[in-house]
Amino acid sequence: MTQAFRFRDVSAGYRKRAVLRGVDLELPRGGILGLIGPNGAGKSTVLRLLLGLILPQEGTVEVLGTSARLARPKLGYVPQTLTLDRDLPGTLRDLVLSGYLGLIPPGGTPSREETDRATHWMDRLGIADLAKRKLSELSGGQLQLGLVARALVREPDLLLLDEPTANADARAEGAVFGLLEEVCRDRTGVVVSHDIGVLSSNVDSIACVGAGRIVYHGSTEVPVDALEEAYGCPVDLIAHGHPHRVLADHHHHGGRE
Amino acid sequence: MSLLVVPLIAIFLAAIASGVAGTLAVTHRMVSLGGGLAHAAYGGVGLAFLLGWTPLPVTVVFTLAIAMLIVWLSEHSPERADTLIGVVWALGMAFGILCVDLSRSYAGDLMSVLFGSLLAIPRQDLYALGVLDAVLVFCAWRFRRELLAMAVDPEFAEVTGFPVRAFRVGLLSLLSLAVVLLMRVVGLVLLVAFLSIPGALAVRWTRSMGRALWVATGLAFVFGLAGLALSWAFNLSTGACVIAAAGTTYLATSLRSRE
Repeated sequence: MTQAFRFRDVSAGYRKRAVLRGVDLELPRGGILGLIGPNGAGKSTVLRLLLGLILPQEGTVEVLGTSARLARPKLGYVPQTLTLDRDLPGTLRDLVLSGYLGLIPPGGTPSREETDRATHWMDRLGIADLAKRKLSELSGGQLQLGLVARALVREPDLLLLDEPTANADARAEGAVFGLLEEVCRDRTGVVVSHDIGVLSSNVDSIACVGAGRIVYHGSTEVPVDALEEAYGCPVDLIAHGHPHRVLADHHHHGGRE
Repeated sequence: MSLLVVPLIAIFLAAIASGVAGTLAVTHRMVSLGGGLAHAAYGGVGLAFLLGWTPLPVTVVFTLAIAMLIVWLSEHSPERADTLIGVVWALGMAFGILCVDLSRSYAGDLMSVLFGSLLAIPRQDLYALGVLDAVLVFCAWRFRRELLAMAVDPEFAEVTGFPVRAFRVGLLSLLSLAVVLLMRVVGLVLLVAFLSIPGALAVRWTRSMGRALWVATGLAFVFGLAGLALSWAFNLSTGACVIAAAGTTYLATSLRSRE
């Protein structure tokens, strides 16, 4: 069985600045990986490498046993809502159906089966009754759920989610991770977040990104020193319902984090 | 009355080009690019004037070349897109002015390029506008779902493997052709408003790309007719009257939608 993805001695970044340096990482198929780390650590760079939006400066990236670009039809991607232009003549249904882009020939129309699948995922995420709403009439959380539905209609083998619950309330967060847990029984999910609490209670394994490295932990039991290395600051354990780690109050590089 | 037949046909054909190309320009944030192309196109007009060639084909080729130059520069230069557009805008215009200076001929006819000349529009320009309309309507309608998806989230479109770059180049080429052919109707100085206002209103008022295309075309036709009626009644410049009608409607509805 091929890996979900494999980094071999990967260095990557923007212009001459390397965000990741000499990273080796393999993720077996199945389950959900949480990718945590502070802002600017390289979480989005990892996603961009997996999506084929940037090429490694050194090393190789293999996705689903092939190159990132060739793997694209089997990828589902949930970006942050901030990147979207919402003031356009399109509805939530249009957004979800755009998940078939690249799978249907240009100019083609989704089949009955494909539109039914889109309705199914909207229904599962509790947004089916918003299908005819204009994108500008949706809240950030509703739009986020629409993006998850858009990724799921592609029936991806690898699902990549960038801060999928950043704008979501507790109910929407539960809907997203409940569904992820279900769909990732026979596929792989990678969730990027800077919120350790959200990830530690919703994913199967965690990788810490920081200081140019990625440290993979086979479970959500992440040693506190690994988190402190990634974040470059102290981390506390907090328990309210489920135990999780949070960044402790501290001062770092002259600023409060 | 027969004097009005050609202007009415021109307004009808220009409304289709403006409605369709304008909606695409608004949704893909290419309005300022359209303005830049309109002014840079003057370089093509000036070159045709200098060489003594027919203006339309020279201007079409020149403007398409400028559009591709902008694509190339935006992909290979660290400069921001609006800076590049600003530079190309002025450079094309300057090139046109220099060509006219060098020709040392009477440049009176060029006023129709700057401010439009609906009543004296050449018949071959109308034929070309008709062909462009057919291509624009076909492409925009057939690919409306893809064009909307690209506008909403270009990065997602790219990671699906959809040919985003080819579509962007095609879109820019059609916008360039629309700019050149609409220049005769409202003039290059006022063109950007005729291109953007109907599309902007339609995007605001509708909830589907298909409907936005038709509403924008209808609005452009109404603004064209209103402008023609005003210019006929008060002996004013038609292009300016068209833009006055469109701009007033835009501002009035913008204020109302804020209330």
